Amino acid sequence: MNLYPFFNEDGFSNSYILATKKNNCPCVIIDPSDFTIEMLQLTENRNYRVEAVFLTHYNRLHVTGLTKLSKIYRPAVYTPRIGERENFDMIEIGDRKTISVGDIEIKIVNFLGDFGNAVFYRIGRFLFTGDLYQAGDWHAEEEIFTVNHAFIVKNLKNYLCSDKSNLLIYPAFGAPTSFHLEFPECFS
Amino acid sequence: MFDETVCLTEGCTDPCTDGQRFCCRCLSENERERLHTVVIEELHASSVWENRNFSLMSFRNEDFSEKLIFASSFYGVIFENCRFDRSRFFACFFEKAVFINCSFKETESKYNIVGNSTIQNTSFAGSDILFSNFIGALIENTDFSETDLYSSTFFRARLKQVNFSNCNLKKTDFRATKQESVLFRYSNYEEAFFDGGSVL
Repeated sequence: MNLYPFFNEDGFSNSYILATKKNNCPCVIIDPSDFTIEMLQLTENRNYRVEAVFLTHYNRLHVTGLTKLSKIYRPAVYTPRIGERENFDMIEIGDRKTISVGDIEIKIVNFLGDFGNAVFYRIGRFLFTGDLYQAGDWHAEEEIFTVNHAFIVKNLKNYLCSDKSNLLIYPAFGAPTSFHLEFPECFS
Repeated sequence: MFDETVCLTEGCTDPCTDGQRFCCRCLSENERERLHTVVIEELHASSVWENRNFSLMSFRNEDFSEKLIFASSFYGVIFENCRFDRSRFFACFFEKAVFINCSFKETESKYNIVGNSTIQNTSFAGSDILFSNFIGALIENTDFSETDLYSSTFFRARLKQVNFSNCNLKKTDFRATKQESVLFRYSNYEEAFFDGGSVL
C-alpha cells in the first residue's frame, strides 16, 4: 500500500492519497481539503485513477478540494452523512461495513452509531481518524474533553486493543501516530 | 556418515557437521554479516529508499547524506555516528530506534513517526521537521536549533539538555513532557502547547 500525505495551509488539515501500487492503478483520496498541483502531479505522473473520495465527516475543511477534483476526475464521494449545502453527488455510507475500490478494501469503523456524522476508515494497517482523534488525545478518556470525545477515545482504545496489530493512525490535523505510541499500556 | 570437526571460528569449540567448516551458529552469524554488508552497499548506491523495511539492524559510521527516504519502516534499528545531512524523510516510521552521535543537519522531514526511540548527542540544526511525531522519545543532549517544528509532537517525551533555540514552535506539542535543561531562547514558544509537563 502506498500512502501520500498532503498538507493544506488554508485549513491546516491533512489529505491523503492511497494506492496499492506505485503506478497504473486506482487510488482513493481521504478528506480532500484541497486538490493541489502536487496532488495532481502525483496522480498524473503515476497514472493513478481517482475512483473514490472518502470523507471522515462533512466539513468545509474536508470538501474544499472536491470543487477542483470534480473538474478533473469523476470519483464516487462517500460520506457518513450528506450535508444540506453540498454541490456534489455524494453517497451516504449508511450501514455498510466495507467498500471496495479496485484492490483497495476500505473498512468503516463507526463508534457513534446511527446518530453520528463522523467515521474512521481503515485501509490495511492505516487508520484515518479525521477530526475525531489526533496524536496525544489518549488522555481525553479522563480529562478535559467533551463526553462525546471521551466516548470515542474509549471505543477506539477497545477497538485497537482487540485487534492487537500496530495500526498507524493518520488524523486530519497534526502528526501521524501509531497504536503502540498512543496506548502503550495495552502492551505492558 | 557423521563427520564431526571443530568450528574454525577463533574461540569457538562447537562441532560442525556435514563437512562444513563452521558450526551452525557461526555460519548463521557470518551469513548475517555478509547480508549486512550487501545491504549497506546497496543503500549507499541508491539515492532513493522507498517502501523499505529494516528491523533489528545496526549502522555505524555510515554517511547517508542527501538521500530521499520515503515510506520506509525502521524497527529497533540502531544508528551510531551516522550522517543524514541534507536528506529528506517523508512518511517514515521509526519504532524503538536508537540514534547516537548522528547528524541530521538541514534535513527536510514530514509526516514521520519516531516513537519510543532514543536520540542522544544528535544534531537536527537548520532542519524542517513538520508534522512529525516524537511521542515517548528519550531525547538527550540534542540540538534542534534553527529548526522548523511546525505541528510536530513531543507528547510524553523526556527532554534532557535539548536546544530548541531560534525555532518555529507553532502548534508544536510539548504536553506531558519531562523537561530538564531545555533551551527555548528566541523561539515562538508561546504558540506551542505545554500542558501537563514537568520541568526540572
